[in-house]
Amino acid sequence: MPELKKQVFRGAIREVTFGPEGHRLSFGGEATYPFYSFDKVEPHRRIVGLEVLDTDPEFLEKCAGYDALEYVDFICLHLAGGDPNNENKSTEELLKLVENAAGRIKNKPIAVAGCDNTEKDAELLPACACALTGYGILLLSAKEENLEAFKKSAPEVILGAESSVDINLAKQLDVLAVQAGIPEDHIVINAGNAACGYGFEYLVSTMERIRAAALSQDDKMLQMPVVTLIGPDSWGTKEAQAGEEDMPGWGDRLERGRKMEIMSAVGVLAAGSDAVIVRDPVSAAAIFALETKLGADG
Amino acid sequence: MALTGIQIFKLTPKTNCRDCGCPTCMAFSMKAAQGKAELSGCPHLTDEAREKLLGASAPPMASVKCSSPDAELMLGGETVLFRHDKTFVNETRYAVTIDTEMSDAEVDRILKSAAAVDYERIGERMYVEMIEVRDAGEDNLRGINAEGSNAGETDVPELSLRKGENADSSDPAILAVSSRRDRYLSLVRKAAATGRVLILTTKDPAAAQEAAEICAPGKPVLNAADGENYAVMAEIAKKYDLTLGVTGGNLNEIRSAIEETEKTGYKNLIISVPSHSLREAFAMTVLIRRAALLDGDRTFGYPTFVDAGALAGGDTYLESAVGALFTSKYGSVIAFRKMNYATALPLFGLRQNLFTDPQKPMTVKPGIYPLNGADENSICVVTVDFALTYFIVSGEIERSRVPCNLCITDAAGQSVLTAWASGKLSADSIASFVKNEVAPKIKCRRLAIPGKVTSLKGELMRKLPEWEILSSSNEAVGIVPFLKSL
Repeated sequence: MPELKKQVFRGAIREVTFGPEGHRLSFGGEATYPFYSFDKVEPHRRIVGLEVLDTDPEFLEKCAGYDALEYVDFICLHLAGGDPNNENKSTEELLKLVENAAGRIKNKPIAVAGCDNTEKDAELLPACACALTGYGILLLSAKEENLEAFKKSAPEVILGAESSVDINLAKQLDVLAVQAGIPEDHIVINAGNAACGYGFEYLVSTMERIRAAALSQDDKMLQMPVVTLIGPDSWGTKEAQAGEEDMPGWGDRLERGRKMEIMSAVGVLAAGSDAVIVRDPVSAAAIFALETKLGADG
Repeated sequence: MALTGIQIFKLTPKTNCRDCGCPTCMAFSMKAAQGKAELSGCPHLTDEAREKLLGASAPPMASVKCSSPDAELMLGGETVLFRHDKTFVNETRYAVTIDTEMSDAEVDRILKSAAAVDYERIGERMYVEMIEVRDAGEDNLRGINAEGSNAGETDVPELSLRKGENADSSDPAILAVSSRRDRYLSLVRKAAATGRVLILTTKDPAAAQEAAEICAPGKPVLNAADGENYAVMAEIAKKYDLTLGVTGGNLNEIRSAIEETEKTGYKNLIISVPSHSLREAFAMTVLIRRAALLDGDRTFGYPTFVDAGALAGGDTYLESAVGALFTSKYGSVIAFRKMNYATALPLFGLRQNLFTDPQKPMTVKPGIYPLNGADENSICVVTVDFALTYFIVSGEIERSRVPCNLCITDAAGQSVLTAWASGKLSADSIASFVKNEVAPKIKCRRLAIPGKVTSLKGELMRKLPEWEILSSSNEAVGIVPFLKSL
């Protein structure tokens, strides 16, 4: 490579670490745009989590199985069934499930994602943090409306701060979280989720602007790593949902869902997400392979 | 790189002659810097100064045109690195690759699968625009075997060489070359018959020339020239007005190959990124674009061609990941080995999103969209023309399997609440849309409005007395239970 100009920035992304003793996982810490290791070496790979839904009949089996996959960095227990509009499972029931799952996951850090109902999550997620004391979990996510409820969970956990897809709202929530006493290196940004073709450009531009502000303007309140949950939006699209009998030309449904998930994940990684959570192990393997090839000389 | 007024001023005669209509040369220079005056306004600029100024005001990245008899594609011409700065200009184009090592059955299967991908999404035709025909036996362009070339080929660069013209047709090396050339040209004919724009990847000048004849009057991409063969390749490209791919094993080699090619006077180029390593290919693609747009490096101011198939090494899921990466970061043309609906649906969606105007929301055309087999007796559901709203609402309606006429009103591409707040979605706008567009075509007189604008119900009942006005759910997820409860 000839010496083309390198892009050097004042600011850098914070390094964040989670997971239990012996399986600590660090991410973030970079001072370049995504995968621009030719500007400056990135201290960590962008990490890949695998999502398991509590509503999945094979929930516990999957937790144990995913624990053995080398291309998966962490496992995300997604408690979608807690949503009053979904199965409305009680907090007690979900806590039991989470504890059982944690017993099966021996080699990887755990993330817990809520049901996206602001009131329920305010009760459910801090209770999960309490039940999994010592696991050093990543908790997704607090919103502005329920931030108060998460105060007591810090600094035991790494807390996701989820706002609508907007750079100013993301920053505002980070400021509020810090004012609430949550340490800066215990916060990650969840800037929103989307799938390719469905308002994905807002997410990409928001992430790219967050990253630009963090690096070139050294904006401390936007220097948290970004975590993105890919599965629910990608697998919820018509492209992944439509049956083969409804859309005969579209071919294998699983392949459609996986590729939607892979491309959505790569799209946000290229825009600045430091961690992605996907639902299918094949998607995780493809993203891992991409990152390995991007990191290696071969 | 735009020049400042002072920089322009230094190149003027500084006589304040007023022939340009400005009181002083300085005033003219300031106007020219802002784009308010044309350089041609000054009749006294020396040719040298004019060339300098025109060069400086030319766009930082060339726009390159390629075509088939059926279609024309523009590549490159980008001005910014991020879409939040300004709208990207020319969409990434996708190709599927066939090569001379493949069996006829495999070639046919690949072409058929790619041709099947043809649909419309928010007013845009989505299809695989290009086909790369690759001479796989050639000394590999993609860097897998970048050093040196096979013995047989380097002896036959003469353009006039045709099958049978050579004196000693019994020479086995010549025979092998000519039979492979025949194979290559038969693939070119097959690919050209699809009407798609071709990328001719070969280092055999004779094959390139015949392939160009086959494609005429289409103007395919000729891929690729390197430091060794640029002269003969540029000659063919010039003769047929083709876009010439230029490559090298690393950025230095690419730069010198471009510079040498430019010296022949041909500047209709695309940079063919080598595929020996994903890490290197990504670095090169980003650095090339950044050098052109950020540093005004003209040598790198050309679109890029990236071979996702070769970089992924045959894994279709990894190929999807690589394709999405280069769609996000600076591939102008991306070639795939496997192109089917599963790849195309998210890929084209991603591209469509990334290349939209960041200041203008994506909209769908106002009108009646019958879903789930709806007819004139099915209920009407009204919402706004913001593309995302349309997708979510139509998706939920399809999930309910209840036949509905989804009526999209013109709300300037805003979401329901935004449109309501700005007055783009009002009882008046809905009523006039229903009276003029819906009522003449639909017999059913039931109309559901978004739950978020339930407040419009009373006024709508007065304005549309024959209609039963229903209020649907607040959120899209509530549409399924709402429709099922009717």
